[in-house]
Amino acid sequence: MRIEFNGDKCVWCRSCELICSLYHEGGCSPELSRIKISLKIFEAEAEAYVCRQCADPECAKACPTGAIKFDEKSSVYFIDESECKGCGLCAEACPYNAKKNIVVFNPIRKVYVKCDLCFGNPQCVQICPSQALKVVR
Amino acid sequence: MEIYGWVGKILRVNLTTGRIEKIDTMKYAEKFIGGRGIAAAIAWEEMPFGANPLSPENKLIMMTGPLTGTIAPTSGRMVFAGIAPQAYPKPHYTRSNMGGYFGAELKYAGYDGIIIEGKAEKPVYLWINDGEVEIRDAVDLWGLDTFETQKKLMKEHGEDSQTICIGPAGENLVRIATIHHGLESAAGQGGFGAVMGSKNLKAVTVKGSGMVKVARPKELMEICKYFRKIRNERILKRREQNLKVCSLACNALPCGMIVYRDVEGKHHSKRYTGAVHCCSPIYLRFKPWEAGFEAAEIADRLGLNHWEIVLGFTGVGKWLDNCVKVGLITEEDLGMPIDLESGVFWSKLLEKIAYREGVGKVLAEGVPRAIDMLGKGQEFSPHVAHGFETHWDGRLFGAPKYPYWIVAALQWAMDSRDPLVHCYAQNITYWVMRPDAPISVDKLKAIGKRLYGSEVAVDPESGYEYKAQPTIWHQNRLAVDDSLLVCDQSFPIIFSPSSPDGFGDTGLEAKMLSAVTGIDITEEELDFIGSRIYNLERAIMVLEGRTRKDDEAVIPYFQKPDVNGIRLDVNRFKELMDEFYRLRGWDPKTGWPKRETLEKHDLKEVADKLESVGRLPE
Repeated sequence: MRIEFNGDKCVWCRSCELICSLYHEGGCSPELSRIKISLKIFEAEAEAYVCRQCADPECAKACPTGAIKFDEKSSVYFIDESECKGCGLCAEACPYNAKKNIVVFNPIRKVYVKCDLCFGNPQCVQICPSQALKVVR
Repeated sequence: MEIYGWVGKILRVNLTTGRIEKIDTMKYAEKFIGGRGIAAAIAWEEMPFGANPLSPENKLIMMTGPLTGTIAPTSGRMVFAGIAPQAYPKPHYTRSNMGGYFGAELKYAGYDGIIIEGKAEKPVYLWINDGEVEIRDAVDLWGLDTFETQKKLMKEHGEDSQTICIGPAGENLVRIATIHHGLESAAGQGGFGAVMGSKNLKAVTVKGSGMVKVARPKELMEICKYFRKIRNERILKRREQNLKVCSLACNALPCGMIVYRDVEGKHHSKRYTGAVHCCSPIYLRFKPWEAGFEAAEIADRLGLNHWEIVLGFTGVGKWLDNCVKVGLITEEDLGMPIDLESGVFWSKLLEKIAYREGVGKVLAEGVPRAIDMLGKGQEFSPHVAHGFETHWDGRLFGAPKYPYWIVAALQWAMDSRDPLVHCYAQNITYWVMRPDAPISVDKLKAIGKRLYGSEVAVDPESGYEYKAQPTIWHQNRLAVDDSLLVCDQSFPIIFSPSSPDGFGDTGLEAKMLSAVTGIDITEEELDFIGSRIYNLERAIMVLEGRTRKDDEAVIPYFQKPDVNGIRLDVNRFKELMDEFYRLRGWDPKTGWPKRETLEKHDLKEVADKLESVGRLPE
């Protein structure tokens, strides 16, 4: 299961970023969102950065404490924050994280965070007013 | 104490001395909420009313509200306020509202607002990176258009930084210059771009890594879903390709920007990617449409106010078109061949305005001043009052119908700018009066009784009776919505196609504010704050010299026939004004608020000040 983004359908409201941080962190903060909409506004284009839920994830292999786990029920890889030491090896290992906006450091809790698809019912997909985001299995 | 919603600090930047301070937002928050309300409170304390708007004494206040930067639907907005060069007959204090992403980013950086004071010696821009605030050299940016400026600053400070800036129009102190952001967001009305230009402030760029804390996240998320439910019909209708929202967190989609990519210019040999929105699709009527789009893009890039162009000079306002048609203005006057339908003609004219070349020197002053300077064309003036052009008044703007424009006329009379009459007149027009409208007149009447206290307030068969009450209700509510801030095209939610009685939920703003800040507030309490803000703004006008006579400046415009040939009944309207002043607790003779009214609104010090300058009614 992963989130797919359609840039043509995206209306640029960035509600996904706000609801993600609200749901996970208790406040609205694009910096702490696990999905990032990169607006190339002068080219009128939008891209999304979010965990792709790789079949054999490099992040999980890189984690020295085994904090990146697989949830059988919702079939997603997630970071178990109670076991994360904040070393950042996962963020470095992720091949899609060049802009450091998929696996991100949460300075408040001193752990790394990434999309966990809200364990089956992603808030960002629900809030999106234009179906630019959808869950694919 | 933990603060939710607000982030707690307002930046004060003095460009003359370079001094940067932080002041506490919370000393204003409880009484004035944010945005327009806090801007008025700060202005009351420190704005040098009567000063030249383009002098260093004027201040430019930029304020977000407690909802800005949150997921509260349509809330990614902010307000700009100060002494406005566009205001007429003399510049006065007013406000302008903008969407986009800048206001939210400012809050993520830790600031609810910025007060700009003084004047820099040479061009500068302000760079805000969380706690770090710097006044930087902008000599290399001066002269660039609004898109080039933003791109350059984005390159310097990262693609996720956000910028507001002025173009050549603001630099050249054009009275209709905007503060521009993104593709098509701007603080348009008022001419605040010229205020930035007068201060040598080219831009403000901000990057914030922080958070707007929300007291009750789950409740806010439920409100978002509920909002979607009661607004669903309009959302479903507006899902066109290339329609983009104009503001962060606008998951309402009541309107939107239409984006065009790589349109070939006819005036300049370049390709334009940009958007039209609100009034600017009017440019696409020029021929060919690509040249019309180019004219719209040139206005955006130069930093010119679309409203003044397509509701003033041309488009719907048609002032120049009419003057040319009857020979009042000639090719000689303009210094160029005239082709009113040509997009290239308008592009050329806009460039003359922004650079104050030739006739541009006159037109750069805006329509009412241009008429004064030329001494002709008054009969075609689209100017309603206070320096602002036609806006939902039933005349040049073909809607609303009588009697709904009576409320618009009263709103126009009392405001310091064009009042945003969307919430009453536009809503009734869209939801009830058009042929396929979803709400019946019977349902409308029941809503009128519930909301304003009488069916007469909205009865299509009514006249001047019971029109002050809806006017006051909307003035108060708009002051609230401009302070939270939410979009006046979406709020208040009076109509809903998904509810059996057609009524939406006008309590939603109070619910959102309560969930975000954790401070429980009712709709009635919130509207009372709106009334306080409105009274404070009136006190500002009174301090600036406003009297009933200035309110009556709207009368000649509304004496023109509406689309059905109906004119304002001046005597009935003056009686309605009397009723309005009485209901407001203002003196009908002068239009000044009474002491008891101000004290009731917890504005005793305001009454004291007005008394000390002899402007408190007997």
